[in-house]
Amino acid sequence: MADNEGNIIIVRNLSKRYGESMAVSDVSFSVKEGDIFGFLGHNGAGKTTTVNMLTTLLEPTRGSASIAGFDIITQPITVRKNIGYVPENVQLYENLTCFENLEFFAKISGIEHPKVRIMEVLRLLNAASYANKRVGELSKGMRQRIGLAQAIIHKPKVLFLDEPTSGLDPMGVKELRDTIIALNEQEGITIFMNTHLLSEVTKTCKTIGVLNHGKLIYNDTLKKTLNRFNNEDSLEKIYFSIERKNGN
Amino acid sequence: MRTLWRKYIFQLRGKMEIEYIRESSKKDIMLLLRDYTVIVILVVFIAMSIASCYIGWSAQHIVNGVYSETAKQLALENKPVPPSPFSIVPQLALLKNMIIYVVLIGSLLAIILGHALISNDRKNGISKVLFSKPFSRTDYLAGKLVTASVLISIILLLSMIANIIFVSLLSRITLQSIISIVIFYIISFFFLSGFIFIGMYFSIRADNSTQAILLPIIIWIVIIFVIPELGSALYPTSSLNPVLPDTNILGSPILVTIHSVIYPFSVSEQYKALSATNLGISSGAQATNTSEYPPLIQILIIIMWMVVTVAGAYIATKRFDPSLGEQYE
Repeated sequence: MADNEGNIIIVRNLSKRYGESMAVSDVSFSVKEGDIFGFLGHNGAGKTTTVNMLTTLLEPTRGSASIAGFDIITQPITVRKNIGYVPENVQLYENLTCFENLEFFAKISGIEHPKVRIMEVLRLLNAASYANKRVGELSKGMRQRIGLAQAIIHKPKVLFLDEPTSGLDPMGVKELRDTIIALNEQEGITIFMNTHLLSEVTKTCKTIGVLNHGKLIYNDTLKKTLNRFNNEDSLEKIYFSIERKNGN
Repeated sequence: MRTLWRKYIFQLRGKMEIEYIRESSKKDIMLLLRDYTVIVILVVFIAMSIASCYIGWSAQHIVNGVYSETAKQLALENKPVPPSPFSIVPQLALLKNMIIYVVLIGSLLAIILGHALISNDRKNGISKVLFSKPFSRTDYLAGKLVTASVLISIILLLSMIANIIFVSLLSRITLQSIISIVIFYIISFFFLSGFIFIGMYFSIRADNSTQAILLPIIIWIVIIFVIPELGSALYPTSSLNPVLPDTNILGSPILVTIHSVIYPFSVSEQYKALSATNLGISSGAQATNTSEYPPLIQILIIIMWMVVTVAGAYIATKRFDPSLGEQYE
């Protein structure tokens, strides 16, 4: 559930240390319910580590975060009931069919009528004809759809996508973008998207956050960002301008 | 006491989702049955148990044939007929090879099974998706324990049926013999479970799939060959024979000391000795050997072995970092 200000994700001083290096350092931000949040940053900036902590896969060294009103450290199982997650390079059981994969994930997510829900989700993602195909036989784009299906099977409030367009061809990228927007608009799912494809951010996201060397250096709506940097003609130039201002 | 026990069971039920455990186990069995390596393991083990019985049956059949021909000849010549050599051999002696097969091959197959159970989840980082679901690590491990128990029970049950059929083909099988065979397979279940958990432990802890299979195999070599050789240095051939010789081959005090220190930790030796006693094929040497433990102690050692390995698998699961999933290749 979102707080009084409509925030569904609230992150406060979140940090993760690996030995001597800080992968994520005192990151604080919030995401409004119904938003599509683009989390930007170059490779190794700490985006995946942040998502790993928010999806309860990794315990933070310091700080806190809540998703839909539930604390990621003290209520991880409840947080997981409210989130869906699609990691970079979609991970599914290759020797099971799409239906069997989704049935397993639906049942461990506590879905009461998994068969009905699976067909509903597959139809929503235009993948119903692939239900009985083994995942190992699918194309990258189709795997991405089945990966999305497993993530939304339990009707999560927040969907985390880690580099969702990685390895997709232009048609696959467009289809995925349309699906993400449809999930946000039709199903009301808040989207948190890790990416470094700025063109996709412009076409998909409503709000952006920029992470650099584990620190959040920028966070605002895309509209305000484009107005603020009106002398720059593309998000790419804005991104470099933000990074330059922060000493990179 | 009873109230405390009920409270504990209630708490345990509250913490574990039976439905999730069942689904996890069902998925694992489906995956394993589609994995050719695992199918080969099952077929090899069952074929081995049939071969063990057949070898025993065949040897006995040939000796009996030779004996009856000789007895016939002796009778014709009015000479005294000595008793059949098999009349003094216990009925279950033909299962002697089976003990060695379980120790040498069954344990290796159990490690591969344990490895397969975890690596399916770790390959390509599926664990990241798995642990982003409302699925606790306790449920996860419980699902694996159920799968391992079901699979090992099916394998051992088929092997046991084959054994009972062969023994009954050879002679009239007694109820006592059937009970002994059942007990032998129960002991084998505990013994092999430990190796499944070792396979699981290293598959959870290892950084990559090569380490995940190599490390438990090194442990297998230590448990099956190194420790028994040190523990049974007095009987260097014991790793291939569950029945110890009548006399001490080497009487060196150093070897005796090594034996007495290592022997309690040699789970495979305890398993062999206990199985041989149970099947009634142990020699007089074992009964008189001072370092041989009573069956109850041997049972406790084997149960402890299973408890320690399952505890190891539990700790590994609790410490497992699913965010590192992609690195396991």
